[in-house]
Amino acid sequence: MSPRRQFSLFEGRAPDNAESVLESVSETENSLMDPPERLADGKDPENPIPVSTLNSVTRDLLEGTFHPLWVLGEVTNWRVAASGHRYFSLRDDRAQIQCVLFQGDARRLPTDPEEGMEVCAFGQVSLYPQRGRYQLIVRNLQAKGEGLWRLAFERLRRALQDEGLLDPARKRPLPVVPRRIGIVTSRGGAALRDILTIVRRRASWTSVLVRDCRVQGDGAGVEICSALETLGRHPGVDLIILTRGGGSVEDLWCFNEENVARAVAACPVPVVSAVGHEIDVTIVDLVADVRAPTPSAAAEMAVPDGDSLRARMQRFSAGLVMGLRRRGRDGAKRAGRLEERLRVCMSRRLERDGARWLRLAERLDALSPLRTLRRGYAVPLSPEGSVLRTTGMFEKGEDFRLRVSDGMVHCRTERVEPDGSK
Amino acid sequence: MPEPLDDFETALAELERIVAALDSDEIGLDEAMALFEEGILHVNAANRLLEETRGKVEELITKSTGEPNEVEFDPSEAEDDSGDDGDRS
Repeated sequence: MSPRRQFSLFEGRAPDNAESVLESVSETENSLMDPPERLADGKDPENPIPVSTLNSVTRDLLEGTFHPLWVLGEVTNWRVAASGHRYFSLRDDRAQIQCVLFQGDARRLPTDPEEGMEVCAFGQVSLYPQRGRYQLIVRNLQAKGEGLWRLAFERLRRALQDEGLLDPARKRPLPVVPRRIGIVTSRGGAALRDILTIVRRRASWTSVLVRDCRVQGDGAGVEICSALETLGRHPGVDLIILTRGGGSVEDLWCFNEENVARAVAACPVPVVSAVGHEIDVTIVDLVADVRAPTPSAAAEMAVPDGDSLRARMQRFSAGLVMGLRRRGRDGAKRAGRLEERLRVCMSRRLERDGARWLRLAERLDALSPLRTLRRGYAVPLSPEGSVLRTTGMFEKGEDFRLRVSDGMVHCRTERVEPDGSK
Repeated sequence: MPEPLDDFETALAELERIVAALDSDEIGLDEAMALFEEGILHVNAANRLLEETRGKVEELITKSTGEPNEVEFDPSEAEDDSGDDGDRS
């Protein structure tokens, strides 16, 4: 990140307070004249110039001579006034200069620098007329590398850690098969497209509810908080993915804001975070229940893989059939018929759904040496559902049911004729 | 069909239990048959969810009254002013 580039983010935005402060002391009619004219007086004791004129002329000279500059120095005596303005000095081993950073500009810094930190300050050399103090009006401040960003990150991380918000025990498990997932992101972003693609491919039965918000720039943090809150308490949302694609440190910065971190922690349903690329770890990633390296990976963590669920169902079907086969000969006959029912049912699906079912049907076929037994067998069942094995279990005039390969037949006992009786 | 989410996760757990029960020698034939029928019901319910349900993609917007409202998500309306390029940058 070059100093120039960082400045361009703020270009043309005068700090709200800076102008009023300057105007209050500079609006004399003299200030519209050239310095030589304004200093026409003051050459002899008869025509002295007022102090205010001297100071405002000096200030205009300084501001007219120096274009805004980057100044390197060490921060000392950093002080935050009640107004939100920051007052401090920049110094090196031989000199120092008083500095002011107005509240509107200070707000754009990730955090305040630490005492003694070496920084580059960008600003206008000026003079504060009321005090006659020469000073630098700082518009932007950078520490070496990503020093201030890192510092802000560390400060917030420590604060949240002390509160226990990063405790692994707080992490909630994701539902195994969510019915509906919420996504908080920019509706036009590639992150959303990537997630929708993966959800469709892996778990087409899953519904998605998108809540649009800005994911970078001033005010994005507030929008993200509000989106999390709205979606989090919306009925039927099982988990939320909070995401955006890659970007610069400044672009991703709203994911390091304290209010966003707290909104994630307070979300009533589990939150999966996927911000930027794998190397970009944000505060939100630390607070979220699960951190995904990319938006696509978030989708893979959020929904199960349909193919493996189907395979699991196949194993269950096979397990059921195998289990019943162990019941012996009678059981085997029934298993054969029930298995046939299952097979017919699955074949119907196979016709409809094609190749997806092929594996399952093949598996079931392989498991059915018993199906040759199926033709002509039926199981009589009492109204309570117990198997009627002997003539003694039937009574004339009583109802019973016959379980046949494709359903039930309701019957009535006309006559009971045990073997050998005539 | 009851609430499919609960249904699915419960169905998986039930199937685990039923298959384990069928594998044990503790239960009688009648019980085994009943368990088998129950298992088939669960398998069918789960398959119905996997194969027949089609998830919707919707957007939660806030109406002028301040009420949240679900509407069909229309990606064509999307304006990409976010600078967000997903996984691909």
